[in-house]
Amino acid sequence: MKTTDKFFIGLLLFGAVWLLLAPSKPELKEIPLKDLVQEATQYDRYVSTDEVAKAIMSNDPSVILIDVRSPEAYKKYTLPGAINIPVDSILNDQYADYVNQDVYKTVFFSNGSSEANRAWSICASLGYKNNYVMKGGLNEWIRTIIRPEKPAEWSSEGDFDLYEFRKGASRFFGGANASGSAEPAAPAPAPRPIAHKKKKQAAAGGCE
Amino acid sequence: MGPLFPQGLISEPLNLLIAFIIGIGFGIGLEAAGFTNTRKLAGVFYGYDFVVLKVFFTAAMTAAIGLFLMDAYGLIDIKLTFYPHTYWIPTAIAGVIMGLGFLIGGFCPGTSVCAATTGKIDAMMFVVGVFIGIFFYAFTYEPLFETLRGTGKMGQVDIAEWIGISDGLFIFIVTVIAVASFVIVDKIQKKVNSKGKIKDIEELGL
Repeated sequence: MKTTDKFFIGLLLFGAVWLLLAPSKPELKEIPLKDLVQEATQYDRYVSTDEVAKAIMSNDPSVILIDVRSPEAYKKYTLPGAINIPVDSILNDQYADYVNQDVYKTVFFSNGSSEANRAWSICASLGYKNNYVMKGGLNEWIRTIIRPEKPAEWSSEGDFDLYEFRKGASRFFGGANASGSAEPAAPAPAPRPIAHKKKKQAAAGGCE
Repeated sequence: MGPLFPQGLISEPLNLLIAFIIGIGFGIGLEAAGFTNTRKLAGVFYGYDFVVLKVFFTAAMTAAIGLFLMDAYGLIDIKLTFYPHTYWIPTAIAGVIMGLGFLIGGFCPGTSVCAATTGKIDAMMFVVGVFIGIFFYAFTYEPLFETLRGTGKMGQVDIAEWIGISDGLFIFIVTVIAVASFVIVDKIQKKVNSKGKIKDIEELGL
């Protein structure tokens, strides 16, 4: 047997012994059904930028857009009609009628998804319903709605339909297709009147 | 492509591209190692050349050790990799047929394609035969093979689990078996070749 053969056989045996002595992984526990259901239903938390664009363009009165970024960022750029509730004051009493109600569909958004997810999680942990997160945030909004990319030639018809919609949406929002650069949207109009409802006796002790 | 593709971590075009590149590498490797020569494969049966056995045993053990080490240190989850359900009766029968094919034809399906691209006519015929076999099986599946296909069902098992030892111990045992077989086949090879060297094709005047 040649020296190289012995070397590779040694290497193989070394690996096998290493594997034998390697720390065994902690046995993964089965996820309780309750958590699994919660995990699964969380997929409902997201709405796409296309859905949001449709809602804005059709003036859907049942949708409220909530910008959870800082007021400065909100002043620079936001979605038309969005109101500003920074994530750290999401539980302020004055906003309770937005985040804890069962009439409207509120959509949180931030630059990416993480801030909006944080806001959503806070509300979800208190049992507030009807809150959603715009998937991908404003970055995704710019990428898909303001500057939509033409699908590759071999893409499906659905992709082209979506692109046509996005081109139209881009024009509507004054994006690249119309003027070459994304202009800041019109300053947000006054928040829509909210149907005040009796406050639930939620979260005794308060989280304010 | 292991856990990457089924879990949606890479797209289908990328998956195919990676497969294409690995395939080219595999073909070059087979050709460079001389596996497109029918005598290399048949040599395992006649006992004068065990390179094929050594290479594939080493490859299998390297892959197994590497994958399970990565699993042990949390780099991959071995449970997400794909392996098929076991039907031992059709597998055993197919193994015999495949072995006979190796012995008579001197190629395995992979090396036959490599050899065909290097211009070996017997390899081209082998590839034609492979396709005839594929179509025969496909078009006679329902009347001839469907019952056989489902016999000896054992579900998705791996041997270590089946005999109740840890994966690490099982791989260690198989590695020891591999090393032992390397030593033994070396002895056999020496013995066979000392009886008189097999003539090269050129010397036979074929």
